[in-house]
Amino acid sequence: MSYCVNCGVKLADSEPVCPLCQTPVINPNQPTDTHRAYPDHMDRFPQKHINRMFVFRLAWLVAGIVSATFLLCDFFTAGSIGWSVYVVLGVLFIGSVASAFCFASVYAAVILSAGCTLALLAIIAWMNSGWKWFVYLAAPFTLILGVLFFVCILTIKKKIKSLLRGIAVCLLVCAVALIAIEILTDLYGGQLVHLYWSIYPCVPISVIAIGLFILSFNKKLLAEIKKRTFI
Amino acid sequence: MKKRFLWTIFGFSVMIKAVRKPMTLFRLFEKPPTYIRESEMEALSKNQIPSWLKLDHAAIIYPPTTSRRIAAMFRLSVSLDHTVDKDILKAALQNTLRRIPSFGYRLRQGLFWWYFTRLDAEPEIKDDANNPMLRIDEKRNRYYLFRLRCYENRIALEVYHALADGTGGLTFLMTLTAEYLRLKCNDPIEYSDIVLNPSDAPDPEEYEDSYIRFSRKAGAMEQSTRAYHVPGAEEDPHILNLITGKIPLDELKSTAKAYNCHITSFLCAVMIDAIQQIQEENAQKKHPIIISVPVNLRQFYPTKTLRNFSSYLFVGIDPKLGHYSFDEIVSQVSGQMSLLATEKRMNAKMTANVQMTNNIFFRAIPTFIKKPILSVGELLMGDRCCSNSLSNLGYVSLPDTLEKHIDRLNFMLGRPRAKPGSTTCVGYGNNLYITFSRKIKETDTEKYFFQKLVQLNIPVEIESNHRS
Ligand SMILES: [Zn+2]
Repeated sequence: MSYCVNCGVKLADSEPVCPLCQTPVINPNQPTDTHRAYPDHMDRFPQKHINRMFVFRLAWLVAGIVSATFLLCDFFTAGSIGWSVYVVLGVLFIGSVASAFCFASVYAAVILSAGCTLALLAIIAWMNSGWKWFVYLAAPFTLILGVLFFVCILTIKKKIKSLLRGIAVCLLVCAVALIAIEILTDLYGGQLVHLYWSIYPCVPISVIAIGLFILSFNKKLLAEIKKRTFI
Repeated sequence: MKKRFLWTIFGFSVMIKAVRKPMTLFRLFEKPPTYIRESEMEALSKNQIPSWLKLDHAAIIYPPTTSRRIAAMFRLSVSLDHTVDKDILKAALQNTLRRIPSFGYRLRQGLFWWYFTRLDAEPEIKDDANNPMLRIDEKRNRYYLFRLRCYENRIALEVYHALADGTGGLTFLMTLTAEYLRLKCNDPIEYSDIVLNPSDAPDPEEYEDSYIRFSRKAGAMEQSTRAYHVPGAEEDPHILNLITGKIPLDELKSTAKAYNCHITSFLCAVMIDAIQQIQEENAQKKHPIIISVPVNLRQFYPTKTLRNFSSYLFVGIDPKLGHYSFDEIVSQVSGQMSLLATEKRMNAKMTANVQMTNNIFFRAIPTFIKKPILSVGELLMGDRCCSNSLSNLGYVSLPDTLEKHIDRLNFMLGRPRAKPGSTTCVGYGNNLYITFSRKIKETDTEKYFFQKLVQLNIPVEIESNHRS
């Protein structure tokens, strides 16, 4: 049986420090290994129960009905199938992307949806026999966006030691992607590579990213902000 | 005559069983385990208990404010004089559920309201945890809205607040403990109004909504303002910090008597004093310091209900008007208490609530729209308007046959939704056990609270759920 020298309260044998003021208990006569009031085991939050198979089936059922309706409408009004192919392609595309996110891990889902986008654009290019815009503009653009999403999800999910640092990395990647997009459009237009509009968003984004990166190391300031903004 | 009636009902239930589930007939001829009570009783009570229930008028606020991470839970625990035997506890739990069927329900969402449906599965007994009162994982808990845990010599009951209030939970736990001790030690048990006899049939009054029965015509809502919240760094969402103080009742009573007030008012005043000290140290702009004090309505109305039947009142001070000395706080609090905790005021409040929920236009709103409305309403009228809460379960006196096996009692509330912490106390034996549960790291409220008690020459013993 000990007392806290700071608060004057009696402390149960299970308390190595005063729970009120964190003053350590120094009692040479007290055995150190005493009974704890609560076990160490921590409960976890309930899991999210989403029936993925049900969502998947429902999505494809809806997609099937919508495509069939459009195909029939197109066929009966125009006598042949024309514009409705694009609708069907779009529905198929949304369905595959949604089911990718339903099943695979989020990384695989990003890669799969990038693949689906490429396939969709390729089919459209093939139908219109205009391969140039696909090869020089659409494909690289999709790839850049895919890489951007992939890196962002990776950094946020892995938290690279702190969430703030993750956000900083994401912002920097966004800035790089913007520059890459400008280079791409310049090349497609047949002009010389000349950075013009992408500089304006890139500079503030980089400044914010660097600021967040520095802030993430200042634990004291972070704790203070957390404390002040607590609702 | 009564016996023949019972047998008739039993016969009917066997016939119904034979039609619905023919295999269960075979079980009738098995020799029942010694600790299970007569199947006759089971047949009777199963027929009486409604297959579904409406939520009572206080419970309807809990489902909309429940999310994956937040649920209004409270916990009651008893510490016995020996290590708990889980198998016997399980048998005792089954018998208790038969006696108090209102705990055997599952929460469902209807088109306009939430409702309870009856459960048949047996509940499980869980191990205790460092962070009790986390939201129940319904699927893993077989859809029960309470959780029974045991740790060494302690039995703890954690209840989702929509199911029952503190008195209902206490009755369940005490009935369970008495039944456990009867099975374990073979002692004769003395029954009382909080220790029910499991071989009695459940009384429909025990699961009625007493708000409807006792509300009158004139309702009045109370005005509430924003209250001061103690600042602090919030812990991770699954962590709950608990500090329990054991205070000898004699010293507490005599000190409260010296200040000419009740124990609840006295503890409230000490807490307001502690929070005022924190506000003076931290905040430039002063906000009112308000404590929410739940009131058990059973003290005003004769009802046996074990579901929610309580209200609350706000007491506090406004430090904008200047510093309050401890004596001033005590007189403020006990004055406000005697002004507000009257049958008329409480009835007006409960009538207002019943009238609002009985309004046909409100009732016709679909649940998915009602949910955000009620959730925001609770946020604005609930935790925002009080700095802390102090629920006093009162002094629990048990029959001697039970008291000799029970060393201590504990009562606590789960992680609050918007305020930094909540406080609960219960008197048992010669002590009062007061538990602070908080979601922030800082312990200033607790520190100043207990230091004030020590200053007033009231000894305190502290225990916590510190993590190693
Ligand atoms: Zn201390």
